[in-house]
Amino acid sequence: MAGQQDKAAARSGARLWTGFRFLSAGLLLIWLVLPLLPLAIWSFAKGWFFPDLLPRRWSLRAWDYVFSDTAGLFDSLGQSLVIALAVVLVSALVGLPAGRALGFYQFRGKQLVELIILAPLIVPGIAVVMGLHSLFIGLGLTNNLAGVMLVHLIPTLPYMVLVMAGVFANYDIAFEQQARALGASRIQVWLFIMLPSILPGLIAGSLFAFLVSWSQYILTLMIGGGRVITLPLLLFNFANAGRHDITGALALIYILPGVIILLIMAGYLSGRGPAFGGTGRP
Amino acid sequence: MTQVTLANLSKTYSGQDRPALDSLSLDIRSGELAALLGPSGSGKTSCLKIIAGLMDPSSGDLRFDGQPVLQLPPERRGAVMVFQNHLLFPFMNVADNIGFGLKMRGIDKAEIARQVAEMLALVRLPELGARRPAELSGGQQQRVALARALILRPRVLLLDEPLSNLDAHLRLEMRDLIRSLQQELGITTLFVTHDQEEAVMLADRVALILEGRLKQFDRPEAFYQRPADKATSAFFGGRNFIPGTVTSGRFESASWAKLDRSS
Amino acid sequence: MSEPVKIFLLLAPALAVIVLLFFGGLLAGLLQSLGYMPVIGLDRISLDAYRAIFSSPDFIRSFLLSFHIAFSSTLIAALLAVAAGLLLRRRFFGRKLISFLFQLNLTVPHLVGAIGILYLFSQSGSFARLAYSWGLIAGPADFPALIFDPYAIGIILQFVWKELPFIGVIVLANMQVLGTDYEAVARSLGASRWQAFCFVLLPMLAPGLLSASVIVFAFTFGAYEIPALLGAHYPPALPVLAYRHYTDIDLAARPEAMAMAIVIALLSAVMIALYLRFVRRQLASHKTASQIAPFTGRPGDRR
Repeated sequence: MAGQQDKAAARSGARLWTGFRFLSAGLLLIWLVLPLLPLAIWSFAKGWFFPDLLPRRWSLRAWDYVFSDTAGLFDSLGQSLVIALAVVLVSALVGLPAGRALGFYQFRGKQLVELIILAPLIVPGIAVVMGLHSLFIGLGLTNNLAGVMLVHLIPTLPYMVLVMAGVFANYDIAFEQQARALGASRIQVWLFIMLPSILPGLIAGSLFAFLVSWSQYILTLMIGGGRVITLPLLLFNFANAGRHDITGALALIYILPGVIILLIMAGYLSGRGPAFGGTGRP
Repeated sequence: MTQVTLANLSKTYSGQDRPALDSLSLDIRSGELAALLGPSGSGKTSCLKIIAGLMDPSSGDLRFDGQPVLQLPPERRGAVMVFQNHLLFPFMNVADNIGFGLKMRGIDKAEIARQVAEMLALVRLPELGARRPAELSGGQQQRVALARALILRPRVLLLDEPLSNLDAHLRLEMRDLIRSLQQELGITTLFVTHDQEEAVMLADRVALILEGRLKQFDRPEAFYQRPADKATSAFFGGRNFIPGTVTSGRFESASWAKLDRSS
Repeated sequence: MSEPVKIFLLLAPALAVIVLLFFGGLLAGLLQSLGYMPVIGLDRISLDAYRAIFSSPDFIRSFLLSFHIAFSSTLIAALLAVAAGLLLRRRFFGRKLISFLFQLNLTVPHLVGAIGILYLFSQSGSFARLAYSWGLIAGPADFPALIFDPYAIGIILQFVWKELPFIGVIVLANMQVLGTDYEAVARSLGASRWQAFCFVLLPMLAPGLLSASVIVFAFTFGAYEIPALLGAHYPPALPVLAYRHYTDIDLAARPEAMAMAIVIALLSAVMIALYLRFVRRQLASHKTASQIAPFTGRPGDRR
């Protein structure tokens, strides 16, 4: 009767809906991966011109070139790595205590402090770096690694502070107090109680900070003045010059650390880490 | 004023081999206040959700006034469920919460305001319309949740553990309120609880559900005077079980004889 | 050690770095925008640079272009992120894979995505070749210009590609926390699926969604490398225009570059103000949400 028809209609409606969801999921999946495909294909192509859907000839020429020293890959890679590692180290050293202050304590003016720390994350780099460049010229911090490292601190440090604030918000100071009661000195408490507890969050924050420095462009361009060529700058140059096969190879190398970090994080997050917080950056 | 019939309602969750509900059949009279009583995990809340349309049964039938309702989505069934955590919408004030159902029906604002005011008076919270749920006490939130459901004059009112979250003294107050409102409005009401005192004090009839099966559906006294089986009796506090037989109106037990012999 | 002193010492290094570098850079930019450049002998403050840019059609065009890019990217990414959240919130076949791809996307730098979009959508790119093989076009010039075009379609595509997962991860996390119980209550009270979404779920998602959108808007407005790679030469996006002015041989163009930088900074200040407003409201509703702790939250759960 009417009940049966209603039920049948509901069932076929549900099937339609499930089909739609599958389709959208599939499209989303393809969309997420799509831009990376031509990069991969180009890196193995020996000339790939319109209107070929796939290269007619394949070759490892681009990879040979990239790994020979003429492309400048190793210099750029080295510089990117050195800068990122230094930046992460400084951010962690400076950001950890600041995060502890924000996570643990309430105090007058806390909102203002949070605003100061948050501002560099929202104001785009271009608005700041040009003024900073003029300052740095006078201080001799342009066209060298030191200046670039400093300027990279602008987006990474606030991020690290926020992550550590989240970590410390979940941290129970009772553990430290217990340790002190059992006779541990302040330094021993830091080394043996605090550090192990916040280590997962610290590592997670550091990995993300690494990626933030790794992907900086305009900051490096302006302060580095063309003397410091990190990997993204190298990549941009080749892309602009139309050397697509080399661009493809460089791009794949460039995203590698990100993928590795993701896999590490996926392993880390499943299970360990009582105090971890923070979201990614745009 | 709706009569509710559950016929062989069963529900098995995927991955479980034991059914949460096993062929449950109940006949709830129009205007009755019935309790679904049982320990946690006995399937009571699943039953409520099935009646409300928020979950589909694995098999069985459900009828309101003899009409099948399983094919109807929750918004068209007229069975309103009040969750244990009442789930007042935190971003709306009390008046908007209560008037929500009416707003979904497209009733005009003035009329909604009038009915909301009436309802607030009925649940004895006359001045609190403009407050946010977070500003209310637990008992007040419970009453707002109740008002939000009752304002719709539902065919069936489903309450999931309405008194469990309240302190002891609030519980009595709330019990009285539910009872008096239900009688006044005459809405067929089914409530779920694990507390047999609550069930016994509040309900016209109690349905005891153990391990997904209906043990007994009867007036409260019957559970003490004529429990269906040993498990039923144990649930209501039975402690001393004396095995024996009844012959021509006399109860004879071997253990009495034993006692007799040893003394 | 007293507590305020302790707090101060903990915060001092970080605050020093940020104040010196970030606010120092802003201040230097502000001073130069006001014409104060003692290095080349300008030591009087004037609003000339601002007057110049606000009366310049080039600046207006670039500003509007950047605003259009930011607005469109944010709107589309936010809408799609909510849709993706609805799609992914329930247990379902490809969910883990898509979640993983979301996170993978977060680690891919913008530049790589931009180059990928270039190779896909340029007039001699993959989609153009696909159209050719289907007989839809006769040659590269027939393919619509999506890169280097006046509507910045390629740029918007790239931003949507990158920001959809960013907003999506946040929206999805919010949805998991909220569960489906509130919508179940709404439906029990007579709301249809669509009404439950509009009147109950969406308002509860709004704080997180809007906070994320504000961040995305500010970012896409002020990003440099993507419009530099994918944008038309004229009009350029505002950051590109500012960079061109700054690197102009004529030093007199510097104050104008700085003025543009300050305009970009002011726009983000507006965004910060909006962000704060929504974060505060979010904190308020979090308080209520945790008082009314929803239980597990998927309709199939046992109880």
